[in-house]
Amino acid sequence: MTATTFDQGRLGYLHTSLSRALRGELTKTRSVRSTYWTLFVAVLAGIGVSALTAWGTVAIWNDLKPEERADFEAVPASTGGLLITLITMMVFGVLVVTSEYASGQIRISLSAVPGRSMLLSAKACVVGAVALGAGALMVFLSFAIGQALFATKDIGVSITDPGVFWGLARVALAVGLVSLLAMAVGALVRHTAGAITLAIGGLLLPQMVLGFAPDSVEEKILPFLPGGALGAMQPPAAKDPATWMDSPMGGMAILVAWVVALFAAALFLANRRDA
Amino acid sequence: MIEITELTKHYGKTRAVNGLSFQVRPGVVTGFLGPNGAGKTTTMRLIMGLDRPTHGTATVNGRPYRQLRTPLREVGCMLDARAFHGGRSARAHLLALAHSNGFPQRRVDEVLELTGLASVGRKRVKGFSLGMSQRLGIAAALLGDPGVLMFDEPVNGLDPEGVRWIRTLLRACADEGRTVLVSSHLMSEMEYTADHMIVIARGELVADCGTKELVERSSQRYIRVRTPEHARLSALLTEAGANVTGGPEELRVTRMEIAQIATLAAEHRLPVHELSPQSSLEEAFMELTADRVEYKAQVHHQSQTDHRTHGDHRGQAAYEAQGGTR
Repeated sequence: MTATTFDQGRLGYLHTSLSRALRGELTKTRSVRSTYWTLFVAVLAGIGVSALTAWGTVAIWNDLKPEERADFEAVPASTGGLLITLITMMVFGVLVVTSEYASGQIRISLSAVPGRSMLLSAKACVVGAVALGAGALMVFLSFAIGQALFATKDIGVSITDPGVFWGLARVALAVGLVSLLAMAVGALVRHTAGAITLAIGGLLLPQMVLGFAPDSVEEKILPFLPGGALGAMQPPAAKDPATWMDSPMGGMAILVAWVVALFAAALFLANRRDA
Repeated sequence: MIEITELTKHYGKTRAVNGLSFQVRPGVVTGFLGPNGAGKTTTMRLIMGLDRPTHGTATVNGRPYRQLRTPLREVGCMLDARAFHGGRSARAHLLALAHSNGFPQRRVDEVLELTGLASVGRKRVKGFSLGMSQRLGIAAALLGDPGVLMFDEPVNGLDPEGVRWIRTLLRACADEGRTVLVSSHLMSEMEYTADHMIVIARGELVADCGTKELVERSSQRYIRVRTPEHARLSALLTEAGANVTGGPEELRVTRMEIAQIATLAAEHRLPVHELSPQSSLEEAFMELTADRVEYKAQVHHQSQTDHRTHGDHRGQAAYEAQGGTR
């Protein structure tokens, strides 16, 4: 009754355990609707809000005073919907882990891929790649739409202008990094609501809270937090950064360090905790 | 082959499994029995490397589960039939598992066919009935055509047809030389399915023997006799050397064969409405675990184990298998 035509020869066309685990995670991600809804919101809503804010700027441009016009930065002004993309992809990162704990799927996943580090690494690859892709799509399309609008007032920049492409690429990278950060929090907390609150709150709240603190305190702490690092990464790049961590590369280094640290903690705990 | 040596697991102060050692051999269906909360699921989780043992080891084919390189090729298991992402189709669920172990896509269609799910393979599992979920869990277990199979309460909540399907499947798997471990808290179910029994209670081994042996070891075997002439028959049987208990409802006769009872009744022209052997694992199990049931109910009905069941300091939570008089 269970007789099969299964033979060893048909196995193992994917050789390394990681590539198999990756393929499994990719199949999982592709086979649920929520992935597509998440990407739909992250990309289309992000672009929509970006276009809307760019259009708003153009609409009031003639009424702006010269000093207000001087503050205008064509790159960030075209990616005003970034926060939507960031938050959506963070939720995505959290859910890739916590939804498995909520449904009990994690037990099946671990029976197929018993190495905790292996499973989490495979998930991280998928999350990072998907978020990076979504981030890049949103950022570059928003930029294109925004600059087309700005061109009507002759205030746009070109992607070939110095620093523009790299500035946009950094934003896309930031989306990827932040989603990994959220995934690591998901793996540590293992509960959806808690992890989402902690990840998004941890990224956005310190700026608000530290805004009430004296500037000297804010300057000492904020750059080392994920939110501050994220800010430093985004264009426009600080012209003459007072410290290394205010520079885009400094911000990226700090954000990467956060991701590595939280991910290491998640792996450490995953290998010790009961599933 | 599953081997468990001195396995112990504490969750905080709770000792879920305590110094458990046994082997599960290939070619037979091994029943893994114990009342609710005895530690069956914990033991299976430890075998699968989901939890880390406090002491001791659990190995599959000589290695800890976490060290298996293509685990689904060696072990198939179903712990909780409902544990999967509801938004995925049955096929996608199996496909992800197949991909994670490097199995070809064709194998997914094979197990869908094998478990009778081929027609609903594209449906999302959210809408599956318990029976269909159970089949999907079994499809996942069979995916890698493994030599070791492990099912936690596979017949729970199934209709008779589903129960029979699982019984036949377990039997077939064992006949193919696989190692089959099936847990249950229902002795009556295991009696017909398992060749070998491992009984645990409160995380400790109570019995590890053949099913027949377990039934025979039971001191609760008796023959039920229903007759309107219970007083006269009772006296006759006792006179002939049998041990008779019970009242007008039924006589419980031990130390005498059915044929002798029937002959005796016929000789004295006494009507007999029922004459049936009552030997079951249920009683054997109750007897074995009576002193160790974690959550014990205050027993109000006439039960074989009344004299053993004392009030429990842990409270009065109803113990499911308690109503096991048949």
